[in-house]
Amino acid sequence: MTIRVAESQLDRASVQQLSELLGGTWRLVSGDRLPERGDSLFAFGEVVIATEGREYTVRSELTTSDFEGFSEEYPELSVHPGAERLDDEIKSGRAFFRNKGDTVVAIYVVRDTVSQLKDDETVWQYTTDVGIVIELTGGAVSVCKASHHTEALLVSFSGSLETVSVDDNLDEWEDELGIAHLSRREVLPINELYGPKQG
Amino acid sequence: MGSQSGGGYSSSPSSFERLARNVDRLAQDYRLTPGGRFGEKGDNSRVITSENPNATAREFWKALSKGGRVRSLPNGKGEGAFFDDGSHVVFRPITSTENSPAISIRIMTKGRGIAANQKIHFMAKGSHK
Repeated sequence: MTIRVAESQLDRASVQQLSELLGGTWRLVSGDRLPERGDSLFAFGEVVIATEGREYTVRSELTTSDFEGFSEEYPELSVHPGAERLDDEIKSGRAFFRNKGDTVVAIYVVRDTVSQLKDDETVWQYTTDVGIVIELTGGAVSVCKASHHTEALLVSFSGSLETVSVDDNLDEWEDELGIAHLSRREVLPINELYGPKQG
Repeated sequence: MGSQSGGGYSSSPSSFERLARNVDRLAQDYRLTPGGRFGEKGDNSRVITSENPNATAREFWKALSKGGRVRSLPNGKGEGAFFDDGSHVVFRPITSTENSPAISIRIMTKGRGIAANQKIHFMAKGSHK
């Protein structure tokens, strides 16, 4: 059986933008507060992250793929310089200055590979960057997809890198008799992704 | 890094309980399976058929998003509403399927009998087999 394979990963420009945050002084992240989800914020499609002197927009945009055997839309993350909506976000109370003044010490990309198995044989495999984790001197901030099927984003704050929690959202695929879904995770330091291309 | 899920009751107007009540109310008018999915099984989504799919989709959306915090999608292709646990619903009046608006539902809180993820296409009677 031929395995259908799909990938949705941060492009090289996005990785470069993220790497420029390293060593910067943390300022803010945008989103709407979620009272029933602890230290989390929500946004449809765009989140602003900023260090002193640098602002970026993290986008989640739907792209079409047919790896499941039919045409469906899946969100793809990208990072862009600038933040046109930053003033509006601040004025409307959607900017959060927690950990302001911390130094950005490391950045990680969370990459999940979801597989569908039918009678223990892999039918399709979908590898996708689901989140960005920014480690600060006083904690960590993550910007992650809230879903594999919508452009929604979740921002979470953690006291340390070790306590960062990122959903795999595997429950979006329903197991049936003989059909199972698995998710495997890699956490990749940004330096590894931005190194010289191999081969 | 592990996984997490939201939860807990809140009296906030946009609490997850509000969304769950919206679903319960819609289930009085639209078929809801025991697994918590609306409509009939389609090729890659759920399907609700009616004489006027656009009007039906807007009526469904209005009831489903009630109490949620509604935002326009950045690409201008629809609206989204989210609730306090991160559960969210998205309405796209125009999709790649001609004359078939769609609503996506992503549920973050488990235990209320609503499927974690579903996409519903609204189609004209007779156009879906």
